[in-house]
Amino acid sequence: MENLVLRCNLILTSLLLALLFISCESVTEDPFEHKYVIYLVLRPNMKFQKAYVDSTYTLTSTLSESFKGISDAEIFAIDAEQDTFNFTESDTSGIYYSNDSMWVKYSSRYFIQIDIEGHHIEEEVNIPGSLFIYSPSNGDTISLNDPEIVFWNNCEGSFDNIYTARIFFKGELDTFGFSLSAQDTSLDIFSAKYLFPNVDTFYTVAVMAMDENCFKADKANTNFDYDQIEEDFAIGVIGASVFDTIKVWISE
Amino acid sequence: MMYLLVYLVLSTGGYKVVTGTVFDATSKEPLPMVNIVVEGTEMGTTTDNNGYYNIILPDTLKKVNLIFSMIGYKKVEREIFFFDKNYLETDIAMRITTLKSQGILVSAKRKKFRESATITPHSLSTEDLLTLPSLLEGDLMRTLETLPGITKASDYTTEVAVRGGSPDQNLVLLDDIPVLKPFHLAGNFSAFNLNAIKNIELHKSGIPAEYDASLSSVLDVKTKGVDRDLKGLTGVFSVGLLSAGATIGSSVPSLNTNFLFTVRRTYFDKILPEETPYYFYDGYLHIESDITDRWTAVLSGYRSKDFFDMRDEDNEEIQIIGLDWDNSALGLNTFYSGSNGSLLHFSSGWSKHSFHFSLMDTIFVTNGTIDAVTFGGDYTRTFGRHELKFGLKEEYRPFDYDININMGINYEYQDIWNNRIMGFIQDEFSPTKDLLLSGGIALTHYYSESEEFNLNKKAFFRSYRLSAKYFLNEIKALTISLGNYHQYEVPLIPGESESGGTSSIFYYLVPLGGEYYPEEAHHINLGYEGWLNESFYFSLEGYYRIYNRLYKMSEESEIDIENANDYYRTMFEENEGDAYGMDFLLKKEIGKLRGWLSYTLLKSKIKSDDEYYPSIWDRTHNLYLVLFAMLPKEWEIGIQFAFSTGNPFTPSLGRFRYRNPATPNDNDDTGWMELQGEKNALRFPSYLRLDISATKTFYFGNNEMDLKIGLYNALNRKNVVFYYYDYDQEPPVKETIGMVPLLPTVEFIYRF
Repeated sequence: MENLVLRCNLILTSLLLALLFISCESVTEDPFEHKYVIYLVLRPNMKFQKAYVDSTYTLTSTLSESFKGISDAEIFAIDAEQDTFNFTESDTSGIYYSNDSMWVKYSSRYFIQIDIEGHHIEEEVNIPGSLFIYSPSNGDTISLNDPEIVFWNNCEGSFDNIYTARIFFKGELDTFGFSLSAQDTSLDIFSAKYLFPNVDTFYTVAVMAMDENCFKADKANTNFDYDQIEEDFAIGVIGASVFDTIKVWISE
Repeated sequence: MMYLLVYLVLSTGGYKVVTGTVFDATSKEPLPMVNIVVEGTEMGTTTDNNGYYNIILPDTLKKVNLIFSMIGYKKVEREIFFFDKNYLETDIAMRITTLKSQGILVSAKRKKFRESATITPHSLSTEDLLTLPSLLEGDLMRTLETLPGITKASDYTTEVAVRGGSPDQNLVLLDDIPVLKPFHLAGNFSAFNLNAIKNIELHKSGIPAEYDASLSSVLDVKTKGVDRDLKGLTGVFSVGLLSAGATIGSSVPSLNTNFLFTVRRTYFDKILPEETPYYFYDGYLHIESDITDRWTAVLSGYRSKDFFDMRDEDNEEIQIIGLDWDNSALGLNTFYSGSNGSLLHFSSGWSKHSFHFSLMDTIFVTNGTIDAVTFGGDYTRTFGRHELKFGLKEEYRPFDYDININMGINYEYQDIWNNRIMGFIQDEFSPTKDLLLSGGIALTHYYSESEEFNLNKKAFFRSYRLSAKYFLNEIKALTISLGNYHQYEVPLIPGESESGGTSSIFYYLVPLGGEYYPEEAHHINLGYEGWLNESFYFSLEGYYRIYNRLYKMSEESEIDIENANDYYRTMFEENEGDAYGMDFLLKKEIGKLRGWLSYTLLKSKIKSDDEYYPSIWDRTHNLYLVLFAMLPKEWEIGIQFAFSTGNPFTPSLGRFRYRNPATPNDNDDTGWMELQGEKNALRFPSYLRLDISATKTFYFGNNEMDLKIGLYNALNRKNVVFYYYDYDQEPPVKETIGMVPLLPTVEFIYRF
């Protein structure tokens, strides 16, 4: 029996050492892979449509502060009537604008085609229906002590009828704002009255509805679901959104 | 008779008498046959059967030094000053020596080794838990990490993963009642108060069939009572950097009942109310009563609560962050000891976890409640070479969640419940003196229901357990065990996490039903354990676990919210996984220098979309060294050294400018976003930590006080929690969020 114990000890010690030895493994980092980065969101109520064509970068490369995307991309959209709308590169490389104005229609469908350095991308985009805020009216005064609800119409074609309401400070769209989500066509923004830093001033309220691509990309910060382009060589979003804005005077 | 003798001596004059009772400091039981000598003389005596003593001394003495001694107890010296008195009464409390208590524990462990067909479950005593170095104060869950097979995500959590399974796969029992999320301070501390805990056992292999509700392990925590023969009160007062606490216990012989109550609370909100909008408390009770000679009932439970209320400095009405984390459990266990050695056990209990979290009152508001109501009964009896145990258990869990995001999206899970009724039978059979076999089977009827979601399910699930222990000799044995395990609820965590990767306590536990089947795992373990000599215990166990079904939250589930039923249907995606490795423990159990060395080899993988990736609990090497050294003058030193492979993480391979599609203006450049590489493909640097503690015991008459000082992360090693890139600089700079730095601790514990 003692021999058996010794044998067990020997076998298990050998096993231990063998496992330790084989458990060592090398860890290698994936190489950086270049991809094109494309953002093209069609918006019916924008005069000109805009597209970005850019690239991914390594984390160690030093870039200039101003945006410099990829030039010489060919971008155009084709509607159901086979009309073609071209995008032309602006003074800033990598930013493209459509030549035609106000051509994106509500509840319509477009084929987007992009050619970059010999790579070809095709996507179909469905524009949601029209969206407008019907209460309160533009310029209305709203008191924080008298809660009022923002209403808008039911926007057909919006992805799962989820709306994003954005509220902007000081009436300037490019200043800091906060967003709220709604499943219905109303939002009691004053349940968040503590978010308003000032009173007796104008705020801009914007309500947006998005197609599936834009909605998923909007959630990118939580889900890393930023890539809504099927091709492997590109990431980004090709989609659509509709929105309406009003300005309201907020008082105590 | 003794009193009469004392009276006669005193009445004759010319003598002085010291008298009293000697008793055990812990149990308060009188100690017979204690030697008492007068220092510097040959005078002395011994205590009688009632622990009573008296010593007659010459009248000329002004003072004497009495020495009380007994095998297994620490020697007590007591200086007696007579002044103008001839008769003094002094009761003496004697404390059991550590060596003796160690011997008792080893004997119990060897008994269990002989009686159980699996590797002996790891256990920790309260003394070890209190003496070990700790973060701010002793913590059961933190100390668990020193045992083989245990890993955790960081220093900032006490949630542990066992053999590569996520923390939700551990069933935690408090006196047989399941407890849910027993944590404080977002998981930084466990809600188990060491002064209320008698002992713990961690089952990670050969888990008995009666526990079939978790995939990884069972942590069995028993609350402490007091000795039935205790006279007077016993208790503990403690003050540490984190909290202050009190424990009071006593026995009521007329009712054959004893009780112990324990409470603790953080106090910084009282000292610095402006800076500390947070507190937690917990309280435990344990009431034990011998109803008859054969019936015993134990009522035990706990309540713990965390409260965080951060308000705007300029406007107190505005609550920026509100958190209310609440846990309760109450259980009644009754035991009947039959004259034939059988044991009949009934248990009933209720456990509840509720929480509320709000951000800016309305931006994000969530409320949730999970209850667990349990009933059960089992019967154990020995028939010849068989020890048979069978029983029935039922557990009913209602769930109630309400989540409001951005004031517009509302998820409600109400009127959801599941119910499990399980019958089980287990047998320990010893066909020869060298072989012990064990088998068990459990049949569970699972029922889940909801009015709103399609999670209705009615099904039977079967689990089995087989194990064998072959004794090579009296102190060494080989073991094998296998079984299948089920889990009926899974965590719901948005983002990257999955059931094999839970790293936060803030998740919603969701019952499985509808098209989802319970998660299932198979375990197989091969072990070798025993004693090298009188002092050294060892165990070595290899394990392999296959996860047939693991669920992680599906990304699509976040968006299909128009239809509640679709939402549940798409909530999870099914994965597979496996974990394998080896646990080794070498423990010196007796002596003035004790401790253990634990090593874990662990590989844990998840299979998703036909590809395997390491789970976040995958740690190739884990090494712990724990030492206790008893020094002269009542000092005890504790040292804890930890080394492990770094946590896996998903690397960032590159970056790109992100344009937010939900911005109705030209300013849609919201900064940089990173390209992710292969999931969990890289490792943070190896984890290394050294903790040191020193405990000095002071005696005040029959009471004692421990002063414990310590250093957590004494080397101030900068272990990594995660990396991020600082884009304020170009190119971006990789920054590190580190784990807990060097942190001194101090704690006072007064026992009476």
